[in-house]
Amino acid sequence: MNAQSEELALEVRNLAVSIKTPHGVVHPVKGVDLTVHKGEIVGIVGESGCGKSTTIKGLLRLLPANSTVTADKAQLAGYGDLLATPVRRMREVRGAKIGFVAQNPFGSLNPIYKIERQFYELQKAHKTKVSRKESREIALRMLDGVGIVNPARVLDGYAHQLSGGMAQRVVIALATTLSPQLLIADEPTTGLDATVQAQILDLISGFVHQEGRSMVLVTHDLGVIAQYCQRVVVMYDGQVVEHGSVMDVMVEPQHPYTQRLIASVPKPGEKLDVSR
Amino acid sequence: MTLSATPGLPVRKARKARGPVRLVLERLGFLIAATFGVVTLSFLLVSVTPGDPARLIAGPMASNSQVEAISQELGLDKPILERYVDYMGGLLRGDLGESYYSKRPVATEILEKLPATLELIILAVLFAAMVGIAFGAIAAYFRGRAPDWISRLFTGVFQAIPDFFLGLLLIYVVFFLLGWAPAPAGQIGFTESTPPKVTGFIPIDALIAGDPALAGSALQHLALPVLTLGLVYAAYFAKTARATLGRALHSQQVFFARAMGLPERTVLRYALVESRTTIVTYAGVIFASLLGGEAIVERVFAWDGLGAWALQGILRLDVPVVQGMVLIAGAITLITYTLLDIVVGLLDPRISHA
Repeated sequence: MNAQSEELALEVRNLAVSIKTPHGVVHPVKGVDLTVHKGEIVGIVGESGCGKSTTIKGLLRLLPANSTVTADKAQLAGYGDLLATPVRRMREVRGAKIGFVAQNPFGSLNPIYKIERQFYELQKAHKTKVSRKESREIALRMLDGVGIVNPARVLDGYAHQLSGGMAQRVVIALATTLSPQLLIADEPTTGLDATVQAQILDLISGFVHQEGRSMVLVTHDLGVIAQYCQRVVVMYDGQVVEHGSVMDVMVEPQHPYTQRLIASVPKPGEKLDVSR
Repeated sequence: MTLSATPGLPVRKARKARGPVRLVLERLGFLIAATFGVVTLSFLLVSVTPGDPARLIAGPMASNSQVEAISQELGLDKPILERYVDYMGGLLRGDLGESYYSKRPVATEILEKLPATLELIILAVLFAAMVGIAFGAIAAYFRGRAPDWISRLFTGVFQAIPDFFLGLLLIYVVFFLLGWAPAPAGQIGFTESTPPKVTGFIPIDALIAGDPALAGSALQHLALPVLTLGLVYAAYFAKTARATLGRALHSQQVFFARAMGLPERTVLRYALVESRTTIVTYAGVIFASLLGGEAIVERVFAWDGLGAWALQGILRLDVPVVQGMVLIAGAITLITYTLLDIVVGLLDPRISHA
């Protein structure tokens, strides 16, 4: 269904993050490798606090000033090495080369500005010239593309007037407005109900399957990984403990953590082992 | 055309106004009720506090019969309920009573003194807001780094100094040592005379009278008291701005704004609009508390305003003056809060659409 190639979209080698705190230096991420081919969805799975989000934020250089990100390589196809770029210039990458979809869509949108304004600010930030009218037309098209029935009304409204699913669609529209080649979604469906989750994931994976795009999907839901990803990276305590094609990892998990993780997924018809 | 489809069923009318109009109407109703409460409370408090105004007016050498005569003249011998009804009746006609000492209507005195105090606290709040928010924003943005430490040092120092003491300090340094500011002798110099009253605000009245030199002098006289109050309250603003902006800068919407590649000044603006309602509310609260709260600073600068006037009234047990002050301060506070509700409703779509 997807044109997977051997061409790399993102290649990260030995990414580590250290954060200076008053109680000493902590290392939430210790040497993570991540390879994303063009047209591929790579899942990062692991428990809370295992360093999934920190890895992503480190790549985008969005960690607080007291943290340091190092890597042997963090090559983004069509741009260059992300960590070799001065932080000042990372702005060109964010939004334009790498689209980002966060969890909790309500939190992601500005509560005070109208949705239209948020599309305008995004385009103004990346293009030299864009008129309000052009921006609105593009925004209407983007909202239509993510399946919003009445885009004009959404544009003239505020974030709090949207439902969770609608708000996440708006966030996806914002993240893809500038057609980034790589999309990073950090638990994009946490907090949404199951049917909306499926719609949102179908929507993002649809975006990826347009030619040559790729995605990193951070989640703790193995079901999501199995359904949407081609390859998976299992993280535990700041390290990659296992990686490979989804089929291999799911059927024959090698690392004890992955084995326990897969065993913990409830199966239909299974008796629950609950003491009364 | 008949609106009622079912005979006998009353036509439903829109019962409530909507949106901003409804907000204003609700607030106005509350305003009137609250003012009534403030007046009643102030009357009772002033009436039951210990101390006999008549004896104080008569002086220590007066005989009991003299005191009784004064008491009778002021109506203090009547039962409290009768006095309350009298007072409320007068209030409805705009009569706040007469000062025991100056024998002039309290309402007239308030109107005379109010502009001097208003110009002082409005300018002080504006100065405090601008300086305080700037310092707070810098501290929040550079949290934990050098600019934050410097900003917090200044904030701490100005918060710790009492305003009247800072006033004395400024008088000593800026007037006595440097000679940059005029003597702290009130709104204008000793040798100057007030311009014909139009608005009651001396700098504006001087300009209307075509005397720019006098207007300049009035502004110079304003500088130190405004600086005194402004610096102290700038520290409060800085503290609030640092906390609320700091929270906004760590919010998810700001993270997402950065992840979209928005420039830092836009990101800062995104954080500011999220926290502005809190800061505007704070400005309103400070404005209300300054009204009367700056009495000692007025005293220090010989400022002929409401605060100094009320302070004198309290010390002399001039009951109508004290009641007048409570009433005007209460009313202005309530009006400020009402305006605040409306402004906050306009600034935050989450409120006006709710």
